[in-house]
Amino acid sequence: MNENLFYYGELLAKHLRGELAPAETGELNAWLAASPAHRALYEELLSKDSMAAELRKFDGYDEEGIWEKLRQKLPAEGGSDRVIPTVHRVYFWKKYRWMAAASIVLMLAAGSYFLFLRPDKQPVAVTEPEPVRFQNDIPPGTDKAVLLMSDGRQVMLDGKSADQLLEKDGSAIKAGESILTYDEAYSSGEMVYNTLQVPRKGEFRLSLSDGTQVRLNSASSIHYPTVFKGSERKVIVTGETYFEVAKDASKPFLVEVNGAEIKVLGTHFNVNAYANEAVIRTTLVEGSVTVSNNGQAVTIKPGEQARITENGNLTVAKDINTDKELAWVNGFFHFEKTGIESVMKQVERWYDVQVVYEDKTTQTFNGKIPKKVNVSDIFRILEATGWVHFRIEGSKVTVLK
Amino acid sequence: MGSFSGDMELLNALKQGDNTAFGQVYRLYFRQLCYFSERITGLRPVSEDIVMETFARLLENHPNFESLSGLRSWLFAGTRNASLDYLRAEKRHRASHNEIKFLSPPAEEEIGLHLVRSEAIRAIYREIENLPYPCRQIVKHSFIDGMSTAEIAEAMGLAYQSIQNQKSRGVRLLKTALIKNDLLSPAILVACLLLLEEKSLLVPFV
Repeated sequence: MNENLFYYGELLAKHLRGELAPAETGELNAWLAASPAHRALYEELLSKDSMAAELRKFDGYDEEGIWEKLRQKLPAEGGSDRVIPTVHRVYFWKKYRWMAAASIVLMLAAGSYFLFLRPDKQPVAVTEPEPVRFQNDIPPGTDKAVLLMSDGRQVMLDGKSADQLLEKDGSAIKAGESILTYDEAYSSGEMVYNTLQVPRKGEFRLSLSDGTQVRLNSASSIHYPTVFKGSERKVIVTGETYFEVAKDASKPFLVEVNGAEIKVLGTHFNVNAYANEAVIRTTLVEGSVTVSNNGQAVTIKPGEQARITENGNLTVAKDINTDKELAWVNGFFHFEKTGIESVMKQVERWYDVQVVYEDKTTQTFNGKIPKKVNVSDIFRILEATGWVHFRIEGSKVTVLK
Repeated sequence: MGSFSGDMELLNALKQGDNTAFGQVYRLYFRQLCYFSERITGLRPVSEDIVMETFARLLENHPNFESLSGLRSWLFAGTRNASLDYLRAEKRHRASHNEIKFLSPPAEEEIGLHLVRSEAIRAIYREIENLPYPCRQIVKHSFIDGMSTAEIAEAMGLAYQSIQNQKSRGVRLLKTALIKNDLLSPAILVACLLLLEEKSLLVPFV
């Protein structure tokens, strides 16, 4: 390809950075004068919004994922997996990210107390981890889901492209990069049902036709009509979901979960009902909800949590740390006197790994870790307590003492 | 940034099948090639596949290059051809399905402009990537993801303190055109600069 083209691209960038030498300014001007298309490109790049949009696009390509696929074609070299070029390119920022992680480590401590970093002190120096301490790192989950439409169509929503879909009742569905949106305006005829499934290592958002906002955590699903008709709004969920229900006193909102039912009028709450967790927890942030199961019913207030145990008993816990329950919505893992098994269940869902125990610590963990980091970062932080160590082999994670 | 002292050393290592060299070339051009290809094909997943194939060919054929720009030309020419092939195939496919949508391959002039554009975006992107850690992340969040200061604080687990009284000192430090062209909000920049300067401002956000 023509080298000049790269050169003019470079000139444009230099101009944007304000680093153009006088001779170069002349060259750029000549180029701009040569064609209206050149001028149009120049104008576009000067606009803050379009530059941000283009950078976002540039940032969005799946460099890691494609590399993983290519890596399988690489010739064996010294018989090991060690040749991960990320070590070179990311070296600089990994190092600093580790330091940031170190400040989080300080919050992880024994029993039920926190160690605080004194603001007047420098963060404790942490020796740099050996570059390939974990040879098989695993990137965090991303925005992805599968939409099952009423005619049996399955639409992959991978957080990469926006699309518009049409249901048979005429309702238009907007599939954005991280959210699926339904619009009440266009529907006709009887109710049509869709299901949104989020796999492990995924999360997604849904905006229902009444304006209710739903967040779905990894390994979760929701079944709902494209438009709510009749006297109530009802959805069925599995896994973990967070709701911000649009107020409509004339049409109560019902959430069915594992046979139990949550009735609301307009409120914010989180439902955790994973099949491998012993208790179904409904945590209320705002408003009021009634949870019923097996003929029992309780109404809870903000800051309270309704719990349905394995044997079907319904209890209420007060003074719940809602920040902790909702940490996933805000992009964090939040541990509070959390046992290793519970910690690892969250890791399993978000990184899609299988966890095996060689040893189980009885200590519990406290702290808050961002979710958008590689699994090795999570493990380094947990390892800093000295209670656990981890080994990654493919998608299998072994927990050691 | 890389472990090779010069272009020639990198090219030699690449020729000898050194995986680290291959990885470095990949990191150098992957995003730009995808961006270039997507300008032609209009589809991100397609462009990622095309670029993957281009790199796979580099791996299989071990072509000889005399300079890094020779390698770059080879990568871009391959990506360009594959992208145009895709458009042609898609056009036939659509014609056979009686779809009205008409996909004509872009003119050479237009493809050239895609390349110019990709180079300009790459240069700005690299500028951001080269900032040291907390600063880069803040710039990315604010500029690329469009997040507010509060959202960034929350996302990064940082709290900002006593920013006001140290403003003027900070602004002098970062002399990229991102400021000159008003591409960043001053508040973000100042926070960013302060973080660079004083680690004690890094306070865990509980």
